[in-house]
Amino acid sequence: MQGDVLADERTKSLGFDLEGKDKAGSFAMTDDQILLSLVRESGLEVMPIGEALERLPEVREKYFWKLISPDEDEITKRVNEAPLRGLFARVKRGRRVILPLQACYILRSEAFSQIVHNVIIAEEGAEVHLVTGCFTSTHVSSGSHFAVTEIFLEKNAFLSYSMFHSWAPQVEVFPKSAALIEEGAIYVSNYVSLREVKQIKAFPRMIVKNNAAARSYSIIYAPKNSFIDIGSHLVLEGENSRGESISRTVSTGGKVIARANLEGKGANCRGHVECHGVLLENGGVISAIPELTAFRDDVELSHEAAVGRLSEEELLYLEARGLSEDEAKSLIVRGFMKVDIPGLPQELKKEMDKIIDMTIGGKEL
Amino acid sequence: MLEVKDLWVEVGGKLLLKGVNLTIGEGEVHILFGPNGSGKTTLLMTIMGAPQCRVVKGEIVFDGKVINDLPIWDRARLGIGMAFQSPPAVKGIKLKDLVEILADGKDGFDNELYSFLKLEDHISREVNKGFSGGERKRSELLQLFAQDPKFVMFDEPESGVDLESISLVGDAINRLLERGHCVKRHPKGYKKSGLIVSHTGYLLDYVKVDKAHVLIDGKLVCDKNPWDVLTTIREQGYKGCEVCKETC
Ligand SMILES: Nc1ncnc2c1ncn2[C@@H]1O[C@H](COP(=O)(O)OP(=O)(O)O)[C@@H](O)[C@H]1O
Ligand SMILES: [Mg+2]
Repeated sequence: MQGDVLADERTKSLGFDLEGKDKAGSFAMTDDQILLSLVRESGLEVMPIGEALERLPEVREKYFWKLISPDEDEITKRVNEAPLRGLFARVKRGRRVILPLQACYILRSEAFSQIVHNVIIAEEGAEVHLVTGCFTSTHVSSGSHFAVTEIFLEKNAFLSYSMFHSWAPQVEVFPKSAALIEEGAIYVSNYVSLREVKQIKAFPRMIVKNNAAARSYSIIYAPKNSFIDIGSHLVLEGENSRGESISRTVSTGGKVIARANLEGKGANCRGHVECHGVLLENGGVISAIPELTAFRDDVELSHEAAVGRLSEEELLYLEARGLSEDEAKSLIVRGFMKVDIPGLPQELKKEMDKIIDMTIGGKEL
Repeated sequence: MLEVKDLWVEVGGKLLLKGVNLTIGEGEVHILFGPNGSGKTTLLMTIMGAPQCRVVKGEIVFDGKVINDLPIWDRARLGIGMAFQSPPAVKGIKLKDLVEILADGKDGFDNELYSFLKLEDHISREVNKGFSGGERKRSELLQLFAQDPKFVMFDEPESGVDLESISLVGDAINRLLERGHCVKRHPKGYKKSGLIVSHTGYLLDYVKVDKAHVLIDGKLVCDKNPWDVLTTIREQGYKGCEVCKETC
């Protein structure tokens, strides 16, 4: 059974190599089965959430259902009622794990409803880069994925969480996450979805304490018949806290809502929102909905939003250099989606760029 | 190499070119003067094939072929290149990546050009983004070296460039057009040609130019020695050209 998943083209195309030789650890689930859970680096713990709850009493005391309430909404209720599945990962105090920790969630049976609950912890001064890939086996066209993910960054920790989604046309996805970012910690959240999907709704919440920072990047490519409602909710609670919510969305016929909600509550907190959307074909819709609320007079929140077609001027410029209209468009779109993400390891950044290149494709220039 | 015959062009409903005739032979470099707003950029953009420049009448012939109906990129692939007067910034694309795309499959692009054009620090930045006026002009030249067209149009390559750097722009144009003391042949067997739009004429000190034209009222007047034309413009302004036009 493992063999056919390993061989799956899509797994590979997302950069997931389940053997995980160059990964700090690997976790994989197909439908509701835990396929794999292993660690290669010391100072890092990776195990099924059920096992963590049994073995580690502090998980229930301090983390499990502590950032998100089980009766918050329909999604959390479903997750709470379902059999317990998901990833528990923790990096020990002061450990800096640069190789990515990978987690894969695969829908393998038609019309299956995959339900997971993850808890991720970076202890004081620790660093970890979690990469999750969510996708369907090639023969699956419908199903759903519900996820609750609670993320804890203790003092001065650095955690990046990159989600690559590659679903099928009839799949509906409801990932719900919340991150608590303690003093001086930095959290980077990347969400990348590049294939047709019936519906994705995700609005991760980030609570940012003193001198801490949260940065959220959403890179969305929405083909026809896709509906993607995505964004982030940053609560800048701490003094000097920083928040940034950046989205780059491209529609070739799909509907996208790019949201961002920043609440400035801490003294001298700063936040910025960037929602940029490009419509490549008629029939698509992109709404950018930035929302800024300042609760103090020393707060600075700003936003920048632009939606519409590609710049004619830029296209003409590249065409005058000999690039055809399609080549110029593909080059600009790929450039548009390859946002610089400070703090992300080079390898991970390259992987993201490669995925974008492969999906947006166009002619190799 | 290039022949423009009785070209009438409309932009945004306004007739800007009213019967332009221009012939540039292989290995020749011409300079085009003209007051602000006279339509110099429009003429270059029309030759390049910008869709907003609507050809109402006339023909553009390149290497013996009428190119009126060709899209921009096909013209570029035939060997027409252009340095824009105000090049846009292209977000998300690094200058180096664009140069590599343009130079791909052609030999002759030398990485030494980055330092020659003083762009070593710019190549890893997004194309033209946050570049100063002079840096943009040099970025144009760099891209043209990579593209290696046989006919190159330069739209005010020296505007916004400080006096000291004008010699660099001049050297770069000479090198791009393979004009030293004598016109060299491109390895492919042709001599390159050029059309330089200039406001100031400063470049005449650096680039050997064969002929000058002046664009007035949508038409080209003059077809003379560049230095004589520049002297007339400097002494009498473009009025001098109009007078000259009547007496010619
Ligand atoms: N899109 C446009 N619609 C209407 N008029 C335009 C447009 N673009 C340029 N023009 C006008 O056409 C004239 C010629 O412009 P241009 O070719 O840029 O002149 P030059 O390069 O000689 O300064 C100017 O008066 C300019 O304002
Ligand atoms: Mg002009």
